[in-house]
Amino acid sequence: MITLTSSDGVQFDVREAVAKESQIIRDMIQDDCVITNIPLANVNHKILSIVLEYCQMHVDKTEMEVNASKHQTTTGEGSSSVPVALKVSSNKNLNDWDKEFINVDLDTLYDLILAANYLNISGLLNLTTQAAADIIKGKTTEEIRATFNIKNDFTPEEEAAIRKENPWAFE
Amino acid sequence: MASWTDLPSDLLISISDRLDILSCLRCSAVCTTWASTIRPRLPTLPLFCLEQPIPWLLLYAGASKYDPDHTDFIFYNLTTATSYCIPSLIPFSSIERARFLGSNSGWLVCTNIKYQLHLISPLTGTKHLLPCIKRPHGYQGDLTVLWGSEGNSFNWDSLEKVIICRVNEHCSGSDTGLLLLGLFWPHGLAVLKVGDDKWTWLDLKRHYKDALIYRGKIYAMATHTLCCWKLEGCSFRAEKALTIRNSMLNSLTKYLVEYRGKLMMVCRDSEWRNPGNKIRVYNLDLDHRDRLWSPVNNIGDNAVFIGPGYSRIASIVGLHGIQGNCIYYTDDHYAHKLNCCGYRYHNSGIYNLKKGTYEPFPIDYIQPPIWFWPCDVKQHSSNSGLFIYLVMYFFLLFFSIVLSLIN
Repeated sequence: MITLTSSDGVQFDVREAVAKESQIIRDMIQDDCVITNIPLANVNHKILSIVLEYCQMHVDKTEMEVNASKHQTTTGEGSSSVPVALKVSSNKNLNDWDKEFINVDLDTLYDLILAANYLNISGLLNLTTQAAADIIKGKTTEEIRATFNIKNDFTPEEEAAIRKENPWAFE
Repeated sequence: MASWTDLPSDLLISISDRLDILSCLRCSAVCTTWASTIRPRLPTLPLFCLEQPIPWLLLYAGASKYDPDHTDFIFYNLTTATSYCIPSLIPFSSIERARFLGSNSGWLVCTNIKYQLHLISPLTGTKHLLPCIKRPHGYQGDLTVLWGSEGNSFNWDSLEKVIICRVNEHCSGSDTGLLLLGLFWPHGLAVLKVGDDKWTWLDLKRHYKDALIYRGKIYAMATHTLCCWKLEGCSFRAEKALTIRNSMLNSLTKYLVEYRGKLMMVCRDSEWRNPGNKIRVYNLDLDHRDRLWSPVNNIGDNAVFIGPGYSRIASIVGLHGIQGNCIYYTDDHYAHKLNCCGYRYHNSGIYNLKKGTYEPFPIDYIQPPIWFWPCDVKQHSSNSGLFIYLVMYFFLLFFSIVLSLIN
C-alpha cells in the first residue's frame, strides 16, 4: 500500500498498482523502492478522490481481463475468440463508465485536467480534454464565453479584426 | 475558483487539437489568452466574404499526412490563386476515393469506395450516412452505386448529382434543416429531408440536369422542361411544367441560378471532348409564360459558378483575380465521373460572355472538382437596389430643403 497526501492534508491509502496509473508516481516508485508516502502539492482531496476512483476502475478492469485470459490458457479449452469477446465487451463497459464518470461540472473538469496533467495519467488527460472539446463543439464564440464564464477582453477593434479574417465562421 | 482563461497553453492546445476547424476559429476569438495560443496554430484559410460569395474550388480529399485516419481537404481560391489544405475530423475511411455529387452551405455529398452516400461537413467534421435509394420499377440495385462496375458490366442507372438546399421552415423534423434533391441518370428526381430514412421520388421519367428552391418551390430543369413542385409540409405537389422550345438547347447541360429574385438559366456543352464551347445565358420570366425565356448577353460585373454542385452568381466588384461577365464552370459529365476515360480531358475553365472567349483554369487536378460555399449564402434580393434609391431620394429631398432655405 502507498499513502498519497493531498494538498489540503487528506491521506489516501491505495494499492501500488492503482497509484502507478500515474506516470509521475510510477517514476518515483521505480527510483526509490522504499517510498510509502507521497505528498501531492497540486491536488486537493476532492479532486484526488475522483482521480483515484478513475485509476481504481481502470486497474480493476485490466486485472479482470488478465485473469480471464489466464483462466482461458490454464484450462486450455474453448476457442481464442472468448477472451477477445470478453475484452470487447469490457472495453465497451469501460467506455460507458468513462462517459458517465466525466459527466461533471466545468470547475471539476478544469481541476481534473490540471490534475491529470500534473500526475501524468494519459488516459484521464485524453478523457478530460476530449470532454472539454465536446462541450466547445458546435457553439458560437459568445456561447463558449458564456459556458466557460470567460470575459471578452479584446478591444472592439481587435475583435473586429479577428472576425474579419474569416467572417463566415462567425455567422 | 477555476478560470478557463488561466488554463496552461499546452492543455488548451490538447483541447483544440480535438476540435474541428470551425470550433477552433470560434475559440480563437473568445479572449486574448486563447487567441494567443490558438491563432498561431490555425491553418491559413481561403477568404470568403458573404457579400461577394466567391466559392472555393474543392479539388481533393485525401488522408492526412500527419494522421492517416483523418481527411485533409484541398481547396483552391480563385481570388488568391492559391491552394489551401484544411485538416478535418472526417474519418478517411468514410471518404476514401470520394466522388463529389453536390455541395452547398458548408456541406458536401459524396460517395466513397464502398459506394456509401455521405453528407459531410468538412469544416465541422460532422457526417451523416444517407439512405440508399432504389427505383420502384425496373433496375432494382442501389442507385447510390455511382458509375461502379458490377462484375464486368457498368451500372448506368445511378445518382448523378445532388442539390443541397436549406429549408428551415419546411423541415421541422430535420435537425440539419437540409433538403437534398437527387438527380438521376438516365432519368428521375428524388428528394430527401436529411434525417428521414427514405428518399421520395418526385419524377421517374425525365432526365434533370439541375434543380433549386426558388420562391419556396422546387424547380428542376429537364431537357426542355422546367418542372415545379410546391412544398406542402411533408409532401410535394407537382405544378404545371413550363416548356422551353429551342431544339438547339436540347443537347446542352442546363443550370438554374437565382439572381436578384429572378431565375436565370445557363446552358453549356459539358461533353468532355468539347471544352471552351459557347455558353449561353437566359433569363427565365415565370410571370410571363408566353415569353418565358430571353437571351442575356451581358451579366455585368458578375461571375456565375456552375458545375456538379449548387450554381450561383456573385458580384466581382473590387475583387482581384476574378473576371466579370464570366461563367466559371467545372467538369460535369458522366465521362468525368468514370475512371475509364481518365481525367486528362478537363472540361472546365472561364468563359467570357461578352468576348466569347475561353481560358482553362490555371490548375491541374485528378478528379472533377466542385464549387464549395463554406456557409449558408443568402440570396441577394433586389432590396439592395431599393435601398440605394431610398438613400438617393432622401438625399435629394434634403438638398431641395437646404436650397429652399437658402432662397
